[in-house]
Amino acid sequence: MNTPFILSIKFKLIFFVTLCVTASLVVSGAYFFNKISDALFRIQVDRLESETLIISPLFASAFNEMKSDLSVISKTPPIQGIVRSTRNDDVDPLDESTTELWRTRLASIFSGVIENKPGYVQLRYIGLADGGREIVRVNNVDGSPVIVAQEDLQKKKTEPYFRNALSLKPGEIYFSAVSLNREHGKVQEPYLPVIRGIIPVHDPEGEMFGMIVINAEYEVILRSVLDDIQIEKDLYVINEVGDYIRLQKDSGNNAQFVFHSLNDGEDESSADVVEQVLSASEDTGTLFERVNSKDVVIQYYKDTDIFEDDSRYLAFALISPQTSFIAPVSEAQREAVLIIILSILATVTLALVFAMLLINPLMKMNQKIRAHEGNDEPLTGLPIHLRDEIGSLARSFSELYEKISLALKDEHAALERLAESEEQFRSAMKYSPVGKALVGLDGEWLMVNDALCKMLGYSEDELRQTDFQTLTYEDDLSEDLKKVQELLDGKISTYKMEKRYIRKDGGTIWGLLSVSLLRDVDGNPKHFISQIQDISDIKKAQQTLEELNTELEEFSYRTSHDLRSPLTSSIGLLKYADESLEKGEQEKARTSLSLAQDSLKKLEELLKDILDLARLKNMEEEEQPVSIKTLVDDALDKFTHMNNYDRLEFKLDLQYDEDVHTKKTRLLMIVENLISNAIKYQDTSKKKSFVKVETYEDGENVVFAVDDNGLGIPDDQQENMFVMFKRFHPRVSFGSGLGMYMMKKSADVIGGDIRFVNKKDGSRFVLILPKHNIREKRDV
Amino acid sequence: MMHSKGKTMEIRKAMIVDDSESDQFLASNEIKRHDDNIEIMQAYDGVEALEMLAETDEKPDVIFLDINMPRMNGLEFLEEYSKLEDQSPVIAMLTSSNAQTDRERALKFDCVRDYFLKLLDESDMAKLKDL
Repeated sequence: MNTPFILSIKFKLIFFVTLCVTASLVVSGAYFFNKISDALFRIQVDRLESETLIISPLFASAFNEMKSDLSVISKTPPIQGIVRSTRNDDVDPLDESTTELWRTRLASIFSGVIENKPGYVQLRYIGLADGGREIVRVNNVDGSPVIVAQEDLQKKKTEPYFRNALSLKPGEIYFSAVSLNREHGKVQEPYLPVIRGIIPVHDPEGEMFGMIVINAEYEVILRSVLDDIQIEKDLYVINEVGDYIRLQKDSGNNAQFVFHSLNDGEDESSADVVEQVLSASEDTGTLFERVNSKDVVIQYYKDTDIFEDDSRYLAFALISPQTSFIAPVSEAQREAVLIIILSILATVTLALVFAMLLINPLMKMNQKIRAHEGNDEPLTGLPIHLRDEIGSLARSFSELYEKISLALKDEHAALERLAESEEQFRSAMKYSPVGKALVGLDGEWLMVNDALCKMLGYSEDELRQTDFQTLTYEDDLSEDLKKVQELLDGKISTYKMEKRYIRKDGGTIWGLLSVSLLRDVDGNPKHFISQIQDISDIKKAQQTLEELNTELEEFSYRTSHDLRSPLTSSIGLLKYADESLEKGEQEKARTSLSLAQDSLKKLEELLKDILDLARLKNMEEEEQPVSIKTLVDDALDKFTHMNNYDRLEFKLDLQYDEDVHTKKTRLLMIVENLISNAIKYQDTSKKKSFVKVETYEDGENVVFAVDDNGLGIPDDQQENMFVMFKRFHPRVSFGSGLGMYMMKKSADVIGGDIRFVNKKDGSRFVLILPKHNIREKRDV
Repeated sequence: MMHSKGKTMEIRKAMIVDDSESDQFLASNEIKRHDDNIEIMQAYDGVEALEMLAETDEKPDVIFLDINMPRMNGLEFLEEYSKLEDQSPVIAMLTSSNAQTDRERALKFDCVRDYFLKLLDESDMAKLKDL
């Protein structure tokens, strides 16, 4: 027997240890992972914040550079020179330089600046007079300064930055919003986002004369900063109206400027970021947003110091996906999982080893016990020396085994004794000459012995498939069942009865049945013990004896009666005859005497028959060859004096003419009786009467038959044909009633069979002699 | 039952059932000697007696019945007779059997009033009147 692994202690141990270890590893791992993730996240956010703060001054410096360029330019001599010359009919009162000259000088300064600052698109000196007409303008065309001719200068009075700049105090610098460059009032194509830095020019009296304007390409200015920094995040540089430059870390510093307000070429995620930053109320902060279906961290800083106007600022936002924050943790997580798996494997192995250590003594013990099965030796090799629970178990088991062994030994001995006595019982039963059986409560044969089988003609198996009721002769069943019930009810403890059984071959046997009931310890009936003795022979002998007895009684009764009756009659008749004679009644006297004579004749005949019978019964006779024909002829001669002999026709057909070996007196008695009966009981009312005597062979038999057309035997009397003192013919007063009886007895003695053959008219008697009974027996 | 014991009966007709010619002769002579007017019917066995009873319109008053007869003996006759509805003739046994068993078996039948041993004599006939 193998325990399924899943049920074994080994499995349970491994399973629970593994479960506990795994659970604690997972729980603690998850806890520390979360803690570390949080801490790491915080560090990352802090780092992002400081990065943002570092970026901001870099950009501020780009603006400061522009501021200082403006400031330097405003202090160059041509600026005030042009103020003075313009107010003095285009001649400088100080050095008589013409306005034209000053303009030329300024243009060359502008050109020099443009050559050094590729981000500057144009440098202009714009006067308030004449509708804000440009005084000097140098354009940057592909990195080279181009001085704009006098006639191409434009009036900028309507431009927003122009109007905004009118309120500037001396020395103040104004940066315009980023906008597309416009030339002659039209947006220049391709679009060029520009920012304008403006410083006012006042005359010595403090009245505003004009302004210096630098148009700088916004992108270029910022990129100059970006070139200097290496960031690993997406960077947005956003102004207060939302226009921004986006630097994507994976696009190789390829910054892109987007007019947020124009919503041109702007992607949604960027717009999200920008809106978040714009709407943030604090100057600096960390935002956690979901952008582009990714969780991101936005760290922003709004720098307001760049611009004079507090409402304007430049915001820097670093965007980092949250996953990147905890990337190291994720790696650590993978490692942790690996460690956990390894730990579990190690645990399983350890648990297995531990389980083996624990289980092995148990297994060994089990093996010992199993191997010991069916062995009578004392049980050894159990780990009783162990000091742990297994040792204790082994010791307990060992003690228990000892006790059981002892008990088993006792039981074994008892069983042996039982088997022995059972064997004795069986053989006593089996070889008993008397039929014996164990019979179930419903009558089924449980166990039967050979004698019973033989008695009933069934095999043991056949008997066991039937019951005693089936085999009991119908008339005897009810009494048997009654007794059985009494036995079951405890009214009797045993019973005996004579009953008949029906054999397998259909024959009936007589049995002397003795039955007792076996009960169990609780007194409940268990089964019957039946003993059946075949008493058929005894019964038969008894029956024969009874028959003989009856016959003897009948004989004595009939002889006493039949002997007395004719005597009584005769006495009466003789007395009557005497009286009649005295009265002179001759006729009556004669009748009386005649009747008396008949009676006495009858008496004589009876006496003769009785004597014959007595003689026959006691006679011992040797067999001898006898000729039936001779017997018949002699009988016919003998009976010629009988009444009415002459009216009979005798037909002789004696085909069998051999001698038969038999007891002559017996055969003679039968032949004479049959012929004399045929003569006596002829039917005198018939015209012709005949007696036919035949002998012939019929197979293995020789038949002697006497046939007549006489009175015959009434149908209802034929069964009593061969009984003593049976007469069938009331009017025919002769006949002792012993003739047929004697014939039957004689036929029995010579091994033949005499029968009456029913026929319509008269009677036919046949004597059947089996040939083997009439052969000469030489050996005997 | 038509007749009861203790009542005087006048016999006008009698039947003798006996197979013996001699006994028939003796019995009928004795009856005639007693009363010459009594008509006598003769049957030679039980079968004949039953046949005669069935055929006759004027039933005998008494039947003298022998026991030992061929075909149907006296006791067998009684079995058959007691099955009949009309048992008007009462029966007196007249037999030479003085066996106790025969007597008992015959007297068991209600119709059997007396049991006479052969030969019939005057005293028997006198008793008949009181049947």
